[in-house]
Amino acid sequence: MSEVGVAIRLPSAATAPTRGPWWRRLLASRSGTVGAALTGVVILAALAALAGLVPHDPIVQHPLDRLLNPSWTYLLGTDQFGRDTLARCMAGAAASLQVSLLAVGLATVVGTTIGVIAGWYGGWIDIIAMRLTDIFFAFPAILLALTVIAALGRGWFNVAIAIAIVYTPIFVRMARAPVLSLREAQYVLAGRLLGFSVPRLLLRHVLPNISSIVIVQITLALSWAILTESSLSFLGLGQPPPAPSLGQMVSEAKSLAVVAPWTLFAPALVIVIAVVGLNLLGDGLRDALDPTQGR
Amino acid sequence: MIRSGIGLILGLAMAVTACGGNSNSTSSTKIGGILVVGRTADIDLLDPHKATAFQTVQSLEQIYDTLVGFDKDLNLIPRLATKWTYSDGNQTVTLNLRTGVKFQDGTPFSSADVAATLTRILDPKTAAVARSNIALISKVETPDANTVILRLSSPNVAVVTAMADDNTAILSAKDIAAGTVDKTPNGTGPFKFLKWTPNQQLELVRNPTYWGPKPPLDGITFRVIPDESSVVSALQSGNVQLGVLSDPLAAKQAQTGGLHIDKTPQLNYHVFQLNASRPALKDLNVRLAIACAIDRKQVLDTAALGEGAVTGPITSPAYLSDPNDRPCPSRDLTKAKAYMATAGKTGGITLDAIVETGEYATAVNEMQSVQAQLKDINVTLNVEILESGAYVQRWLAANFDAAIALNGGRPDPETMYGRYFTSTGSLNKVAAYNSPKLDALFQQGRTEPDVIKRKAIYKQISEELEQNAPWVWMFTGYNYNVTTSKVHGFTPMSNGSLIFLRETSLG
Amino acid sequence: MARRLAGALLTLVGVSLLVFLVLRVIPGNQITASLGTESGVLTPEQLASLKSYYGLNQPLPLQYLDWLANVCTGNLGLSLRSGQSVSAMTGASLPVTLELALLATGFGFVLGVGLGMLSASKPNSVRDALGQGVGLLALAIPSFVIASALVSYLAAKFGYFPNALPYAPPWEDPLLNIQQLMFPALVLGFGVAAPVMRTTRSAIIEVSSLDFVRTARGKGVSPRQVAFRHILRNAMIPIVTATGIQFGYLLGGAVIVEQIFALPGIGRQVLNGILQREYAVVQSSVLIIAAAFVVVNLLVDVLYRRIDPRVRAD
Repeated sequence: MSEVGVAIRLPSAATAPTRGPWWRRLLASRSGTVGAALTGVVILAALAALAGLVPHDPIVQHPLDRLLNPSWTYLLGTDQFGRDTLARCMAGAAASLQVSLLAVGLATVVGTTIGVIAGWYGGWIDIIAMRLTDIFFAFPAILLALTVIAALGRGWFNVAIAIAIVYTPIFVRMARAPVLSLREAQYVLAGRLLGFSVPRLLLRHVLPNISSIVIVQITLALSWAILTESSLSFLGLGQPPPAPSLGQMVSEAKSLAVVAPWTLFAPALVIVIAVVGLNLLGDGLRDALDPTQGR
Repeated sequence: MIRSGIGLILGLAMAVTACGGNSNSTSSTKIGGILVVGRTADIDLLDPHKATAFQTVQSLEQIYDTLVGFDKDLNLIPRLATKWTYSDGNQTVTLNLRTGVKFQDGTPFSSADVAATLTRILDPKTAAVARSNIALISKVETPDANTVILRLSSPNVAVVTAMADDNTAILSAKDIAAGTVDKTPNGTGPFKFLKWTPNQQLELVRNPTYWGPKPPLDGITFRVIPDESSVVSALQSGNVQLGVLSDPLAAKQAQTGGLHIDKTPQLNYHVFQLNASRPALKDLNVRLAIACAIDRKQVLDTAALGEGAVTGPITSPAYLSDPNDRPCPSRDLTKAKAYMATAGKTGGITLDAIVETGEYATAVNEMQSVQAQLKDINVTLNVEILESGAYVQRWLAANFDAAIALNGGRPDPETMYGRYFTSTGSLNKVAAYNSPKLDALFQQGRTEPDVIKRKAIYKQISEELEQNAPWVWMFTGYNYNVTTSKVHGFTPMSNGSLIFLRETSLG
Repeated sequence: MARRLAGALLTLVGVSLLVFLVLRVIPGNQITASLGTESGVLTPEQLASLKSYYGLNQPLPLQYLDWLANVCTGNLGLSLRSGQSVSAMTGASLPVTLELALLATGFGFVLGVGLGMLSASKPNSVRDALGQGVGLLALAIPSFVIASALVSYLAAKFGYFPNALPYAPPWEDPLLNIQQLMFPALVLGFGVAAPVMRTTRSAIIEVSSLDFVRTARGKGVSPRQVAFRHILRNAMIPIVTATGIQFGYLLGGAVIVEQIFALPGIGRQVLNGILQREYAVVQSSVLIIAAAFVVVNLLVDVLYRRIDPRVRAD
C-alpha cells in the first residue's frame, strides 16, 4: 500500500488568494472547495447515523427482503441479511471516521510531541528518535497493523491503535524537520535570550508555525486510515460484525459483485468519496494555510 | 481449460468460446485426467498422526488407509481390516487383516505395521491426536501376519470406530523406525504422494498397486486459493473442477453458471453452551427456560441465511438425533416464562457470554440473534467478542456463563460426547454437566457391540441431554462441494471427507 | 557511506527486536494455533513435549538471541508445520513479490508520469483537474475491490482466471507468468501512480519556471523538445526517487493482492505465519522485507546524490 501521507507538496497555484481568513482562501481554490464538500457530505452522513437519523436501523435484519435492488423503501437496496444498505453505509462511515479520527489523533499528539522534542533538543534524543522511526518505517505498514491486531484482538479501539502505531513515525518525521530550522529563527533566539521557558517557546512560537503542516498531514493520514481499516477488514482483522464498517461491508459483498452489485458499490463509493475528499481538502488547506510555502 | 503456452489473445478467445458448461459425458466411466481441488487453506504437515487441520486430513486420507472406514452414512465398513469380532466381555477385539496389500514403496503390509502404528499413536512422545480415543488399548498382539488382537483395559466398542479416523492411518513399520513419516508419505491408499509445493499445491497420482478397484482418476491436485470467491472464479474458469467452500455467500456466487453445488449437513454443530456449574445456571428451570426461549430456526435463518439444518445433540447420520425431541421443539415463550417463574427469576438474570470471531463467519450473528431472543424472558447477555486465541483459552478454562461455540462432531457419539458429558471426561469442565444416569448410559454405549442396540442407547442419551439442557443445540451448517459438469461419481460426506474421490471420474 | 550502512544495520536489528516482541504478545502460541480447542485434550506430558518441540520453554531473551545468532549464520529458521526452512520458502516467495512489485512500479511509473505531465502542461486547467482526479481515484478505490471485481467479472463472463493454475515462474512459462501477474500488477500499480503523479506534476512545474527553460523557449526550441529534453530530464530525479520509494513499500504491502490472485509471494508468507503463530517464519520474513526496503532506500539515496550535484548536506 503506497504511503499517501508523504506526498510531495503541490505547488501553490499562482492564482491562490493570499488575503483574507484561511477558510476563504480554502474555498477559493477548486480543490479546497470540492474537498471540503465531499468530506462534508461524508461527515454529515456519519453524524446523521450517530444521531439515529437513518431510514432503517443498520443492524436490524429483514429476512424477507434479502438482496433487493434499490427501491423507494431501500434507497440503496439490501444486503444478504435484508439490512438496508444506505443505513449501513451511513453507520459504516461513522464507524470508519471514528476509528480514523482516534487513530490519527493519537498519532498526531504522540508523533508531533516526539518530533518537536527531537528537533528542538537534538543530540541523543534526536538520534534515538530518528532511529526508532527508521525501524518503524522499514517494517511493512500493513503487516505491522496486522501483527498488532493479532496481538490485541479485534474491535474498533484496537484497530485504531494499530493504525496509530503505523502512522506515528510519519508525524514525528514531519514535525521534526521545520523545528530544526525554526530553532535558529531570529525571534526564537530572541525568546531564548530573554529567558522564556522551553514549554512556552514550544507552545507559543514553534507549534503555531508548524500547525499548517500538521493539519495538512492530518487530512492525508485520515484518508490513509480509512483505506487501511478497509484492508484490515478484508483480511478478517478489522472490526467484528454486526456493527457495520465500510471495509467489512465491502469485504462481505465482494462475492456478491455479480449477483447484487449495489452491496459492493455503495460502501466502496463512500470510501472513495471520503478518501478523495480528504485528499483534496488537504491540498486546499495546504495552499490556504501557507501560501508562502508553495514551490 | 486454458492451457499455458498459447498467446494471451488466443487464450482469451478460447476462453470465450469454451466457457461454462460443457457437454455431458457418456454413460461409461472415463478413465484418466487429473482432478484439481480448490481450497482456501494448505495442508500443514505430512504426518497423519499429528494432523488436526481439516484440509490436511482431507488430503492425507487419499494416501493412507485406516483399518476401518465409513460409507456415505458413516456406518463402518472394512478397509485394511476385513472383519472384527469382540470377545472376552467385549474387552478383546480380533481384527482380520486384508491380504495382498502393499505400501506404495513396495513393502508388503502385515500385522507388524498395525502394531507399530498403534504403538506409535499410544506413545505420549508422539503427541498423536488420536491417542485419547484409543487409550483403552492396553496391549496389541500379532499372532500371525494377518491377525491383530487388541486387549482393552475396559470394554469400549468406540475404539473400533475411532480407527476409521485418518489420525489412526496405518503406517509402515519400516518408516516409523526410520523416522521418515513426516517427510515421505508412504501409505496403502489409492493415491500416492508426488509433490508438495507449500502454500501452492499438493499433487497426488494414482497408486498402481492399490488393493481396491482402480481409481478412474490419474491423479488429484489440491490447489491453494486463499480467497473463497476466487475459488468460485477458478471453478468458472474450468481450471479447478472441485471446490470446497464454507461461506454460504461464496456458494451463492457459484450458482451463476453451470456449476453443481452439493450441500451436506456437517457433523460440526453450532451450540449455545451454558455453564451449569455457575450459580445463575445451576437451576434446571433456568436452563430449560433459556432452551425454550430460543428459536433455533430463526438463529439459523438470521445468522446463516438458513443455510443449514436445525439439530439435536447427535449429528452423525447413523445416530442422528431428532431435533424435535426436546421440551420445546419450537419456541415457546409461555413455557419459558413459566420455567423462569418456577425458578423465581422473573426479575431476570444477567449472563456473561463469550463468542469467537475470525474463525467462522456466523458466530457473532448467532450470538446477536440469541441475545435478542433471550431479552424476551428477561435474560440479559453481556457479550464479549474474543479473538480466536483468547477465546480458546477462556473456553478451555470454562471461564464463561454462556458461550456460542462451533464444536467438532464425530461419526461415533461416544467419541463425540464421551469426553464432555461423563464425570471422568477430559472436557467435562467445559461441558459443566454430568450425572450418574449419563455416566451409566455412556458406559452402556461403550460396551454394546450390537449396532441396533447402540443406536437405542444413544437415543436415550440424546433425550437425557435435551431434558437437562446443559447446552442448547442449534443447527449444523452445510459443507459445500462445488463441481464442474465434468465431474462424475463424486459422493460428498457429512464429515467433509473427500474419500470417495477414489470413485470419481472426469468426463 | 559507511555511517549510512551502520545506520541501516542498526535499523535492521531494531526491526528484528520489534517483530520478535510483538509476536510474543499475541495470545496463544503455536500449540493453540494448530490445535484450537482440541489442545485441551492434551495431557500435561504431551503439552510439555510439544512445548519443547516448538522451543517455547526457553526464556524469552534466550529465544531472541538464539534466533538472531541463527540469522547471522544464514539459518533463518524452520516452519515447524511443513519442516521447510524459511530460507527455502523465502527463496521461492520473494522473487514472486519482487517481480510483482517491479511490474506494478513500472506500470505506476508510466501512468503516474503520464498523468503528471498532463496535469502540469496547463496548471489549474481542466486537464490538470482531470489528471489529478484520475490519479486520486486510482488511489482512493481500495485495492481489493478492484482486484476482486476484476477476478469475479473475468471468470464469470469469460471463464478466464489464469491464477487458478499453479504459479508459473517466468523462466518456466513466461506467457502464463505474464498473464498471472498482469492484473495484480495493474491493481497495485494504481496505488503507485498517485504519488508519482503528484511528484511529476510539482517537479515539472518547478523546473518549468527555471531560467534555463525560459531560455530554451526564448531560443525557439519546439515545445515538445522543451518538454522532454529539458524539463522532464531534469525533473526525473525527484520522480525516480519517489518511484523507488513506492517500490520499497510494495514489497510488504502486496499481501492483499497476493491473497486474491493466489500468488505465493512473501506477503502471504508473513500473513500465514502470523495466523499460524509460526514465529520463525514471521520474524525472518519481516526481517528480509525490511532489509530489502532499507537496501532499496539506500540505493535510491545513493542514486539521488550521484545524479544531483546540488545535494550535499547531511
